Amino acid sequence: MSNDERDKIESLLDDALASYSRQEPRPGLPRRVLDRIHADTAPGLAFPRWTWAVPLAACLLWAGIFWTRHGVTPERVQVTQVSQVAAARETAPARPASPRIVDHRHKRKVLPRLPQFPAPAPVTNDERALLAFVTRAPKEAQAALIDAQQLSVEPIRIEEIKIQPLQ
Amino acid sequence: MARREEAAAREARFAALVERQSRFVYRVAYAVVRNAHDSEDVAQETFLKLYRTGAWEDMRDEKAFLARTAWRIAVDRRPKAPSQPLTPDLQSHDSQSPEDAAVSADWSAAVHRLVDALPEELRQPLALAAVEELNSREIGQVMGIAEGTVRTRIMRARQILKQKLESRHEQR
Repeated sequence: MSNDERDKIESLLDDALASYSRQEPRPGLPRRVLDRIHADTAPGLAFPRWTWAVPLAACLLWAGIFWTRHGVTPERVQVTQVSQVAAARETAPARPASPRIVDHRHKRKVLPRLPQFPAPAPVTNDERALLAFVTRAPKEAQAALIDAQQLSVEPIRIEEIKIQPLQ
Repeated sequence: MARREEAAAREARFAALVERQSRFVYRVAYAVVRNAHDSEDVAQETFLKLYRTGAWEDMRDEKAFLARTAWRIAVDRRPKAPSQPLTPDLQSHDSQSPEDAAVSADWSAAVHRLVDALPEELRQPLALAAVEELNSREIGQVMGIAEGTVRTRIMRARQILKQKLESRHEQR
């Protein structure tokens, strides 16, 4: 192959390579690029920044109501049950005792604190009759009643039993 | 108020960047994907990525940065071709052999098919070199390889193409 032919091939190769990436975009590429960017970054579909506050407030409200009503959180006490291993099984690998959960919710009932203890009971019929008697009866009758009560309160004296010896 | 003006100025700067460089980004993408539709998608993705990350505001070498971003997106988009031998089998490209096409009237199209048949490691630097305004140093920055490696690969790709064309010419 002559040098002229090689030069010709070289020149044709350069021209072909120059046109290899010489592809022009369709008119209006910058506009389409910007439209795509505006479409993809439009804030319309995005949630506002404070959106997370709504579920958080709902959770706090629920927790507040729960604490107000129950006062105490349900307490779970884990009781580990220790199993006694039989002598025959001492050589075998010990199995871990499964934790037993005891729920004390129903046992712990808090009674209301009373302003006066014991609580005042309603007046019985006997007490009511006694009260009426005290307010209406004359003083002499009251004194007699008091004396009678004191007498009834005083211990009864029983004289010593004397047994005569057998003859 | 000042914040709005600042955002508007930022938008205007970015629009100017798109206006200035979209054609260049498109051509870099086309050098890799060899398809007009995909090239436009790559160009749009490139600018969208820059806009979202805000990286475009800190660019030092604008062209190299844009070319590298576009090249990465384009390489990811380009379907993985089966590994080709370093000296491509030109016979396998068309019903008409590439050598015949190369010496025919449609010389450029035939050479393009020969370039397409090159291995990617040789084809991409050659294709990027065909994009005007990109020199060996910038191609090296785009591909993440040394400038000397870029030159070596371009030279090797040209040698392969010339050998194929000359041998075919001598056979005729």
